[in-house]
Amino acid sequence: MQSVALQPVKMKTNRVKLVDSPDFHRSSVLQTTDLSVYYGGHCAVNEVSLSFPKQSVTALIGPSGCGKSTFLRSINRMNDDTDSCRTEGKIYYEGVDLHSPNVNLHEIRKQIGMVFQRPVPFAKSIFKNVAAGPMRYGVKDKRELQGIVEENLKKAALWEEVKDQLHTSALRLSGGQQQRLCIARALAMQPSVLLLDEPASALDPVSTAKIEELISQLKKDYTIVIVTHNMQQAARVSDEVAYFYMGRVIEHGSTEQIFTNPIHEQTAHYINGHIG
Amino acid sequence: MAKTIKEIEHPLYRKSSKMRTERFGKSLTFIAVVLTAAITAAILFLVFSKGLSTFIMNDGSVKDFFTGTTWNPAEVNSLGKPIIGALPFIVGSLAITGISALIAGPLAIGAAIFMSEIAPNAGKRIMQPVIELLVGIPSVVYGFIGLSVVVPFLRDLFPGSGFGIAAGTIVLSVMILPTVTSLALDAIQSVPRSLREASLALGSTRWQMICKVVLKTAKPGLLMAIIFGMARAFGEALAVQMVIGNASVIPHSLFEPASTITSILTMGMGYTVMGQVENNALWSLALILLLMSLFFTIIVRMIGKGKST
Repeated sequence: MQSVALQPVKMKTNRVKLVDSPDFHRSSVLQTTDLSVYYGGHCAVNEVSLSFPKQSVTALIGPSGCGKSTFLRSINRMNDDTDSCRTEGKIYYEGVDLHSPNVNLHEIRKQIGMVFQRPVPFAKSIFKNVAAGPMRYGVKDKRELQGIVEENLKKAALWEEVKDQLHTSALRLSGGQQQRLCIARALAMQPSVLLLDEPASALDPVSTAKIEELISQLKKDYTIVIVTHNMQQAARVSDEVAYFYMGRVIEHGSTEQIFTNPIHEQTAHYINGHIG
Repeated sequence: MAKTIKEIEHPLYRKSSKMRTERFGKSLTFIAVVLTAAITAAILFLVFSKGLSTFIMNDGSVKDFFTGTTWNPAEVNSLGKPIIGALPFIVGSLAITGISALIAGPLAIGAAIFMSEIAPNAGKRIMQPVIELLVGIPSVVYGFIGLSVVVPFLRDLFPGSGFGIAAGTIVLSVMILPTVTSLALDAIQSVPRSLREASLALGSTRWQMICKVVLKTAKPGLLMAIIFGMARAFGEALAVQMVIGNASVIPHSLFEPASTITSILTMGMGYTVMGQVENNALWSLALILLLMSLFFTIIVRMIGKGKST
């Protein structure tokens, strides 16, 4: 069992030397090699090797329980806190092995942001929700915080809707607004990678459309990995698609190729709605 | 239209034994409710009528009651009003309740954080049974321990007899600690996992997550836990009476004998006759206790309501 408390807590960025992994793509910011995740004896993710190119959107699709969410959560090591969860294999972020003992876990999560399936705003004002991360890293200046909050709410396409009520509780927002607030909160940490775990599955179609539009906007600056159950969504927002089944990646390729001309029969079946 | 069927003839009009059981069940629960409500109403009526009669029948002054510092209901003062200055007891009760909450609150919240966040396994296996055991210890046992351990200890360390607010506070803090801890634990554990994960995903350390998210979200529940503890401390009589020294003076130090509303009440009960001023004055003290507990209940309810919206 790994736990957060055991990790070295150094606030200074600890640049570990670049690891020479044989098939490391210069263009990909994030890469996994033979990543396996076990819950007790059960193998949830089985030797997955994927690379995620910079400034692109990769959609992870597959039936429920296929390991795509577990895979996503292991990238920023959220599974560390889960009892009986064991990870094998490598994850490289900008060439750094994320499991190397000298890596600062908190710094990983700062650079690899995450948005969850259900919107989870803190029971604070809208302003404080966005400012929460920067404040924890020592930004105290009010002006600076205001700038950060405005900038990131604008990036998350929420500014126009909430600019007059920044100091009211975030819990009063609608579900779709809350989810965009959570995206703004993640962006305020200035990550370079965003992990989205079914970010629109609990939302209505209008909010979903807004989130999708937002993802296309954010692609310019961030590398995005999104887990989704919605085939149309994957087709609309992603550049690459990885199809997961039973913990393995069956097929990985460009969105166009996967949706028009999948190599594996099984992928075609899933995309056409025969499995899942 | 067809010939109407006589009411008696159609099976739908037939009475069955099921209807009787239904009615029986209804009346049984109704009786239980009525009885509970009636008893509560009767107690309220008794305490109010007796408690207020000090001021109505015996010509006691409400102002004296809340500001006077001498308690001698059997005598009358120069204006012919009974001497019923309850301020020393009110001060004693409030002091002992407040200080106990100040001591027990942080300790309880600390213990609850440890049990839920730092060592959930050991917390569940060892601490939870210990706390449940502590909740079940009768107050007279706490009082006895206070009398034979805490009072001599304080006597050795500080000037005075050892009896006083300090001794009462220590005993009460230990007494309400388990209650507050287990309620605080419930509050902390009810913070959803998703919120904790959201905080960790922002790169927070575990301690930052506990302080900024868990405690903040659990705040209404934690407040409620402390107020429950205060209500218990305010109403506790026996354990306090055994260690406080029972002097009806306004305490100037934590180590001087003092008294609380409850301790005066239990002390005086046996020596007064129903209907007399001395007895009515005690009922007035009981009324204060009742109103205070009502006050605590209302606060808890208000916090509870605030939490759900």
